[in-house]
Order: sequence, then structure tokens, then C-alpha cells
Amino acid sequence: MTDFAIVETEIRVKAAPDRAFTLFTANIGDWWPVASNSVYKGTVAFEGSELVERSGDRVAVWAEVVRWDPPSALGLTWHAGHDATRTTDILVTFTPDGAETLVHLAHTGWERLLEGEQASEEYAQGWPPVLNEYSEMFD
Amino acid sequence: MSNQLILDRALDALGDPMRRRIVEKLADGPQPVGELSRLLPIGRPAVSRHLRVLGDAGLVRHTTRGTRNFYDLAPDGPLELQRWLTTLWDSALKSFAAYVAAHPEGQDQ
Repeated sequence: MTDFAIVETEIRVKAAPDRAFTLFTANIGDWWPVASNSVYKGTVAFEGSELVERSGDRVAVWAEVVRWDPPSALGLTWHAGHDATRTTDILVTFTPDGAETLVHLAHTGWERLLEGEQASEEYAQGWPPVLNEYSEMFD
Repeated sequence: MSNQLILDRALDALGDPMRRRIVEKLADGPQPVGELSRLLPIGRPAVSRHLRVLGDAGLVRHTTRGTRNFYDLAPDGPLELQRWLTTLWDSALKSFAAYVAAHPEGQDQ
């Protein structure tokens, strides 16, 4: 039942790491698929150390930057869709591959979603609350 | 049924607080309907209805021991969640790769 401890994916992009890192962060509002993956279908941007979605007066802080190592790594604590009391971890790495870059994303730290809520129960029994967290994440 | 549809059903099914209580009870091990009804503030017909929704969503399975029917958690539930989350990040990174390809170096505003 611990199979989802790591969620990861990777893609190759047609740019060197420094440019890939810049476009990933400074231009996130231009490429992030808000239509399918957002709280309000608003606009997304890094503001200081936070990743923030805005739509009119509504604001959702999705993540906080905990590691900023251009052009090789970006680390975030992720809590899109709920408050920052329960966060998971995102690590994005940018690895040169010829003239291109492999962008690897790992999403971990699920066990922390259960702390406080079901601390006395086994992690293995806690997956339904995690599933429920994510049902509320991108509605 | 596609994985996506299974996931949608799972997320919908867990949107109900009583169904989450049922899933939590089943995390302790297989239970018959009568025992679930005793542990929860709802009657057997309501428990049966919730179990049917959870079963259709792939979260709960039904087994028979002798003449008794038991329900327990389906082992593949977390795997489906992992696939769903991976798909979510896949779509974000694909969108990023398409954006980079459409904006080659030297063409910045």
C-alpha cells in the first residue's frame, strides 16, 4: 500500500538547462495548463518565494520555494488546493542532454498528509485520506 | 473501463464522509455488512448502498467465506492514485515542453 510514495515523470525539452530553468520558473504563467490543472483557472506565477495562482480577488498559494539552484534544481513544498499545514514535496531537476535538457519531476512526502489526522494508524491504512486530499486539489 | 474513469469514480465515492468512515473501518480488515452497520450510525440497507458505490469505484471488493459475505479494501486503489498523479504531472510537463519548443532561444520579446 506504499506504492505511491514517489510519483515521478520526465520529459526532454529543446533548450539548454539554463534556459529551461528560466522558462519553467519565470514563464510558468505562459505554459502551465490552468484549464485542466488549477484551483480557479486563473494565472500562475512565482511571487518571491511562493507559487501563486490569482483569479480576480481570489488567491491560492500552491507552493513555496525551498530550493533554488539554477539551472539544475528547483525544490517546492506543494499544497495546491488546501492550506500550508499539510504539504508534499516537489523536486524538479534539469539535466543537460546534448543541446537539450531532461526535466525530471518527483512528487513525494505523502505520508505527511496523514500526520495529526491519523498519526496512530499505519501509513498503509491512510491512503483514502490522501486520495481525498487530491480530489479537492484541482476541481 | 478506463483508468481515468476508475479514478473519477474513486474520487467521487470518497467525497462522501460516511463512505470514508466505511473505508477507514475496512482498513482494519474485512467486515460483513452487519458488523459495519453496528460500527456506524446507519442501517444495513444504507451500508449496502455505500458499499456498492465503493465497489463500483474499485475501492472495495467483496468476498465470500462459507455462507458469509465480507467486504474489504481493493489492493489496487493506491496504484490507481499513483497513475492519476503521474498523469497530472505528465500533462503539465508536456505543456512545458511544447512551450519551450515554440519559443526557441533568441526569439524572446
